[in-house]
Amino acid sequence: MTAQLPTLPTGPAAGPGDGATVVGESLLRGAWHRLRRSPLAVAGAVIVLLFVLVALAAPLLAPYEPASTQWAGDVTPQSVPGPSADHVLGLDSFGSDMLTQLLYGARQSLIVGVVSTLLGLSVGAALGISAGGLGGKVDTAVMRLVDILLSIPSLLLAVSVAAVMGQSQLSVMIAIGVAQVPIFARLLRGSMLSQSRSDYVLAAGALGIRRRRIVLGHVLPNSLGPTIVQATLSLATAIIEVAALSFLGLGDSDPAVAEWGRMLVAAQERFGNDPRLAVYPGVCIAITALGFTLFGEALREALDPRQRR
Amino acid sequence: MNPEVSGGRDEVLLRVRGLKVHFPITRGIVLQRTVGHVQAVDGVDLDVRRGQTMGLVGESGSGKSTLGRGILRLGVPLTAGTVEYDGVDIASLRGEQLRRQRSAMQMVFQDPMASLNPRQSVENLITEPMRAHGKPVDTTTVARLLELVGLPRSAALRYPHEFSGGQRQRLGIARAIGLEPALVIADEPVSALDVSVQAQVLNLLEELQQRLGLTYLVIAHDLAVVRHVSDDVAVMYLGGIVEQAGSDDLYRSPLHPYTRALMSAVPVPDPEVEDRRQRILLRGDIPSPAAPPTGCRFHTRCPYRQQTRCDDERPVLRELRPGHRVACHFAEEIDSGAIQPAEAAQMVGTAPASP
Ligand SMILES: Nc1ncnc2c1ncn2[C@@H]1O[C@H](COP(=O)(O)OP(=O)(O)O)[C@@H](O)[C@H]1O
Ligand code: SF4
Ligand SMILES: [Mg+2]
Repeated sequence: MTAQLPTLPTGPAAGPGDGATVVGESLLRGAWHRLRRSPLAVAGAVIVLLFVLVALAAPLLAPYEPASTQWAGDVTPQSVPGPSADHVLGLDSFGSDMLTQLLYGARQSLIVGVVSTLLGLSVGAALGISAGGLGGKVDTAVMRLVDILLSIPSLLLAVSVAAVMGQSQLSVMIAIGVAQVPIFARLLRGSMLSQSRSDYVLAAGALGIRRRRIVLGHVLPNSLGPTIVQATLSLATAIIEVAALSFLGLGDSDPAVAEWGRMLVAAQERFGNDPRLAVYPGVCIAITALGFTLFGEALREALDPRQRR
Repeated sequence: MNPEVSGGRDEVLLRVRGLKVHFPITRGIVLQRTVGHVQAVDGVDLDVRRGQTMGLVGESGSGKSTLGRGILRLGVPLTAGTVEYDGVDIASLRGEQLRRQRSAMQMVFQDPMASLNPRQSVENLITEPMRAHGKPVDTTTVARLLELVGLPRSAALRYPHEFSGGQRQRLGIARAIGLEPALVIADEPVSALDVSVQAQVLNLLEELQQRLGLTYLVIAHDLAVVRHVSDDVAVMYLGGIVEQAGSDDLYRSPLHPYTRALMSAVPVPDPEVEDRRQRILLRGDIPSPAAPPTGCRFHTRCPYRQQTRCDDERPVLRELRPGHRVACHFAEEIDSGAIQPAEAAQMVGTAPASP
């Protein structure tokens, strides 16, 4: 080769460049700054944070033991005792303290949401990365499988899993997670394929960077944005889907266990007389889902490298 | 820029022969049938001399980028032909051998933003390829390369989005020369940049060539840009080279009707020359390379088209004057003025452009 770098003369070759004066800022740090400036993102983040804190600290915050039915005697077929000095939000239809149940419900929702989303994410991401990264026959095979999974309505898929595995909290989490596998697989593969067509991937090839490094070091990190957003949004859907599965009687076999979806279902038959039984868990589900959705959407914008304000 | 011919080394660093890049056109979703080919590059011969700059011009869609990517084997199929780099055929290289070869032949891309990974710091994007080729990287490497392309050392910790277009292109250049290549293919290196910084970047390329003894293939759709930097110029039309000559020779006396048409679109600073100049307006758009015209590919738009040969016989590149090759059946007659353009309405001015 004619060019020998070590013997290069130093000093600018063409005078100073068209001067850069901005202080270095990584994309993640940039995303953080953008997040902080968006009121919706802050609202979403506050809700998410509160929810997580409540879920973690439920045993400290709750006035009573969860699922204790010691006041079941006060509940009549016509009415459930409302707010009082002992029970700020009144009792639920099983005769447990409403506030306690709601606080523990947050814990339950968090566990189910996080575990099922992580499950769907990890299996889906593994499938998506192998399809998007290896391409060819692997891609075709994986996508066939994903298409089959997608063609089954997610609730039906979840019901089948729950039916096979029996009534338990674990089966609910697996059921919800399995239903999310094809969504994550498809999303990640799609964004990896579209990133693969971009110039910087071509450039990496021209520079002689190894294929494996291009896929894992360049394509994958640039494809994660939509997946992270989807994971955040999935937490919201998971919380709602638990309710749906409970409604179909596929949840935990103990009816008194604190779980918002379950509480909603139980409140249904008393809705005429005591709408508050449904309103409390309903509002909890809605606010939490809203928080995750707001946060997820803001994250989507903040992670977009072209989004600069 | 003198050719660096030493110790009996071949003067030609890159020798391309009969290069074809055809993209299959497929139909059907499950059973894909090939129903034709986009003949983006269709039989190109090209010699790039060591230490020199070859300019490659042609309208958008004439196959310049595909030729550049074909030479570098960048995601395009090589349908036929050979690419000899420093006397070795690289068209048959595969896998790891091809990857190793890449450090010797680098590319500068048209869109500097798109060709830089937005998540990679400058330091990273410069050192990653060097590590991939086992080049020594020490604490001064990045600073030295940045200085070489006219960027401050402090740029090392920043990210591509923090720079201007011209600065990003400098980053792309720094990253390429970090691999100590001998050949650099620059695909429209300044066409995405502000006019005010185009000259700066072209000057940088020239200075680097002198310092590092680089050989360039500079692609452009703009003759003015190519004239600025080239020793030799090749003119491409619809997948083939139609004329090739020394830069001055080509600008002084273009022989191919297509080259004349391209030239007539560029204003000449000399008012006397400008007045005598022919204006040839090209009719219509470049035809589709999926169904190129028969015979001379330019015949559908050529104002000098003749009844014989043009429609059915494809002209080959032949040397009309020393170092000046042209692919037109009637180049001599057009040059001498024996053949005049058919439609006078297209022409402004009276005298033929060449002396
Ligand atoms: N990957 C591809 N698949 C199919 N056709 C392509 C592909 N790349 C380029 N082409 C076609 O090849 C022709 C030449 O394109 P290109 O090399 O980009 O021209 P230029 O760089 O001179 O503008 C165009 O008609 C373009 O549509
Ligand atoms: S061969 Fe005929 S059609 Fe082609 S450029 Fe020459 S004169 Fe024009
Ligand atoms: Mg191009």
